[in-house]
Amino acid sequence: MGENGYAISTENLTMRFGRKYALDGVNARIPKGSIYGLLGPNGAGKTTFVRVLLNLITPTRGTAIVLGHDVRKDPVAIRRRVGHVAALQPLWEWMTVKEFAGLMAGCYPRWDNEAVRKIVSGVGIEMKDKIQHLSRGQRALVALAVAIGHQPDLLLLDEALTGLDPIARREVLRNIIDAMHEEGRTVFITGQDIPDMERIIDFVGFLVGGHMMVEAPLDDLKARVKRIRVEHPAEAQAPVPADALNVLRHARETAFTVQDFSQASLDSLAGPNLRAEAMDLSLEDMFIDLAQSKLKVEGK
Amino acid sequence: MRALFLKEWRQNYLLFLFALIMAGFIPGMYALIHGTWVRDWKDQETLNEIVGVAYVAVQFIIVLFAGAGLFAGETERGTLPVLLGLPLSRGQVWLAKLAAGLTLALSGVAVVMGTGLMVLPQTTAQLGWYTMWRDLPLCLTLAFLGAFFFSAVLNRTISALLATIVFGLALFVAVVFFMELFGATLLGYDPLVDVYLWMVSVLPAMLLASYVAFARGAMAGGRRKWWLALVTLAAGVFVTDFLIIEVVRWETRYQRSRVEQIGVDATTPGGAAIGLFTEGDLAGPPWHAEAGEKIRNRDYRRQHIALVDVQDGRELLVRRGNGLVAVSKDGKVAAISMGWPTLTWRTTDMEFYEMRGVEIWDLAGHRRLYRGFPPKFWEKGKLEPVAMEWSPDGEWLLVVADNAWDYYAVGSDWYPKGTAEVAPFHDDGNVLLLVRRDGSGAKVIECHAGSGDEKPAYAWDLRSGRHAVYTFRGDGSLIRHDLETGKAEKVWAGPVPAAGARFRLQQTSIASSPDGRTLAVAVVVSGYARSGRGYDLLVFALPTDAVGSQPRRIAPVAGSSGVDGYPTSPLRLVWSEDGQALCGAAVEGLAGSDQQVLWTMRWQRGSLQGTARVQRAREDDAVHLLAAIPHTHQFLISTRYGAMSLVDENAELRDLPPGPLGLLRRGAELEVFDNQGRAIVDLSARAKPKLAAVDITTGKVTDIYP
Repeated sequence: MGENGYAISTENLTMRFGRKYALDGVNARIPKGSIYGLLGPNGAGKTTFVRVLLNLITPTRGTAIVLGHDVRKDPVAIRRRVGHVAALQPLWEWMTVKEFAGLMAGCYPRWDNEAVRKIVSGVGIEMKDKIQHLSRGQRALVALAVAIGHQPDLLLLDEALTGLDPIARREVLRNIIDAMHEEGRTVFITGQDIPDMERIIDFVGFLVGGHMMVEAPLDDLKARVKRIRVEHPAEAQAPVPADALNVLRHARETAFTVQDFSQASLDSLAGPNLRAEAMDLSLEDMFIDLAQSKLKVEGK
Repeated sequence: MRALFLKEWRQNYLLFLFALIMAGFIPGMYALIHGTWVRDWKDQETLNEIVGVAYVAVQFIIVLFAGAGLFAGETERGTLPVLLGLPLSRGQVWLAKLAAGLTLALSGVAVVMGTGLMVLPQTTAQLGWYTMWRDLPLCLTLAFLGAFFFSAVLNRTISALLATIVFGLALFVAVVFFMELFGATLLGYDPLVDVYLWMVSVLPAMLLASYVAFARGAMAGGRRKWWLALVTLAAGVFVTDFLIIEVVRWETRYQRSRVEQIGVDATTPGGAAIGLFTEGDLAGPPWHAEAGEKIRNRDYRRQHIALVDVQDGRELLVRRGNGLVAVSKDGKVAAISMGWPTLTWRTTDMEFYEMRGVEIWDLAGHRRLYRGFPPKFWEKGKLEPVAMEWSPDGEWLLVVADNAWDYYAVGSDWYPKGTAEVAPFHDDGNVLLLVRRDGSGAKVIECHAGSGDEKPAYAWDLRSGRHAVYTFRGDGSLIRHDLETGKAEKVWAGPVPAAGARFRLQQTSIASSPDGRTLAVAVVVSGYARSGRGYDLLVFALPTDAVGSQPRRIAPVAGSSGVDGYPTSPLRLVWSEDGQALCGAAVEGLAGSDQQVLWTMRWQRGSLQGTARVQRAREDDAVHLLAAIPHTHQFLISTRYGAMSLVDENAELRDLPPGPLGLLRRGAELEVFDNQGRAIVDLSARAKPKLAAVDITTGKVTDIYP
């Protein structure tokens, strides 16, 4: 799939370090113009996935197309159009913000220095400030500001919001990411701040143990994955589908999560002395249920 | 790339600042110490050396730090992903880093050394020309690239620094010591390859390996980067060394059309149809040099020995290098003492010429029958063959090995300029190697000559029919070594019947008459009894009839010599085929100059009939007695000026048509050395050297080779 459909598409993407698989046949489709959140527990392979997209590391197998370019064949063209910020990314401490921006500006064909200055000054940082004198959150903001200085078509934020205080995080999400989204650019976020991410992302992927478990538009996922609560007499058992997740049984109540909710399936659970109801799950709950079930299957 | 280049410079400006500070600090310290501590020239010398070392050390610090932090520093700081995330290929990042590091190192070194050369030229001159412009730049480049390489492989700057130092030392030991001393023998590498080329070969391999490690291994994790780097480095060194060897082999290959010198010291024995050729410039003889004059480097690499059938000019054997040749009488087997030239790291302005062994070749089958006498350190020093001769029946080869001292120390850094030391300095014996023509039965006999500078002489026993060798030792005794029984017996024990109460033998030469009944012995005697007599040249006969027989003094054929003169050319005696004429070439040392003379002696039934002496017209023209002309009482001689002459039993000289022998050709200029210094004679009008057959009765010359 080229640039027309997806900003990122991978096919059987595999990355192995020695005997360990960091990515194991990942197939991902990230639509152009979307805000895509990749969720996963620690060690799931999120950072590896991002590094492969930038060709910082070469995948063992499979293909990855970013903005229409194969990561193996044309990594420079990809990096020219992609902004990247990693979690707690160390920077050259001896540089000033201006020097750092200058270094980056010299490497890209187009550069909007005013945009960078506007972002950093918005949080009280001056261009002449030395990076070593900035706080962790301020550095993250500088890195983010510089990452979009060349007006990238795709912004990769690898746990980039870590270290930001809630206000700054909200600012980033509102001002930067929303602005990019409105301009039709693609934003790819990984991270653990699921509630914050839930507010802005429109596509989500769950990466667990190097496998892409789920990938779907957030609204579709929310409509499909529901928590079912069934009330029943103490002596009776509630019918639980075979593929139900996170099943909790109490004396008069049984709760579980289903991945393919429909009104018909809910109705089929109801009956004499049985009352079933469906509840919406937060993204975090969905993620936990799905991730735990996956890890349970793998025996971890 | 430009932005990255500037970033590197900005990041490492402290290193350049360090260079600037050192450029001022070292001269400042020099001035301070010079004013307070230096009292005499010895202190000055010491200070010069210390400052010279300081300059070298500072330069190494600069290049090491310029290289070690380039990649490892990024890994250490965690900024590598940012760097790799830039829209630049890894090759571009690598190149920008290399360019920045190189310019930083170069500018730092230039500032330090430039200031040193301007402000303290005497201390930087202490390093010597070769060190300054060859060794030091090469080692600094190695240090930089080593640091650059390890920076790409290791994750910490300090690790890269330490690894570079360890690797550098290991390389130095491996290349300079191991390869230099044992490489040719153990590894079979071409000893013609300059030892520095081996070090240079590491440079491109290091560059390639650092690129591969960075481009393919950066952020790859695990041992991948290590494997990539080491495999690439090993492969790179292998390939470049292979290429170097092949290029050197090709460049130094034998080219018949380029024969520039025809050697004459080894001639065809017994009329066998074989001649000796060499290609390229030959080593100059160990003549004295004028004060301050250096013996010039010579290109030994092109030297070859080619044994050629003089009937049709066909090459029978070509061996690289220069050395001695002895062809068996039947012309089927040839012994060659191969001299392989090498450069040694110790020398700064000279090339060494090392004899390394003796080979025996079957010329018909073109196969080597024997290779021995490897580099060996006798208790008296390193040995090299100085003479080779086949036994009368051609069954045994006699190799005389002497202490190998460098003949070219004159005016070198080893000795103060202006000294005129001529090696060998400490000859007090020889080692004989005896080996059968099929390569079997090799044995070594050590011949100690006692105290002093005496040199034993050797001759085959032609009378007994047994394989035996006479040695005439410096103490005046004649020893007979029976090779079949291994027994050594003293045939006669001095003293030499020389005039003067006290004497000691300086040089000897020995030749057996064709019937083996008489040994003609020539000795140079240094007498102390008479004032003003430095040396006498005596020739006397030793009958070999029985053990204990007395020598008969033939003649004190030489006149006196002045106190300043002493022999600079070994004596040589040759009998005519019928044993009725004896010819000797000698040097008479007279005050102020040495005279090259020929003595001839008529001989009949064991008794001397008369002697004659002749000296060539040019006083400084060294003569080489080559061989007796069969069926005549004439002897062939050559001169250093390239002429060939015949001398008869009455010491009448007859010059043959001008020949090109004995010339040292360099381009259009032919150089001739005299024994007082160097004189250059323009003989460029002469034709290119060639081997020609000369009919001594008609003077007709027939070109044979090349």
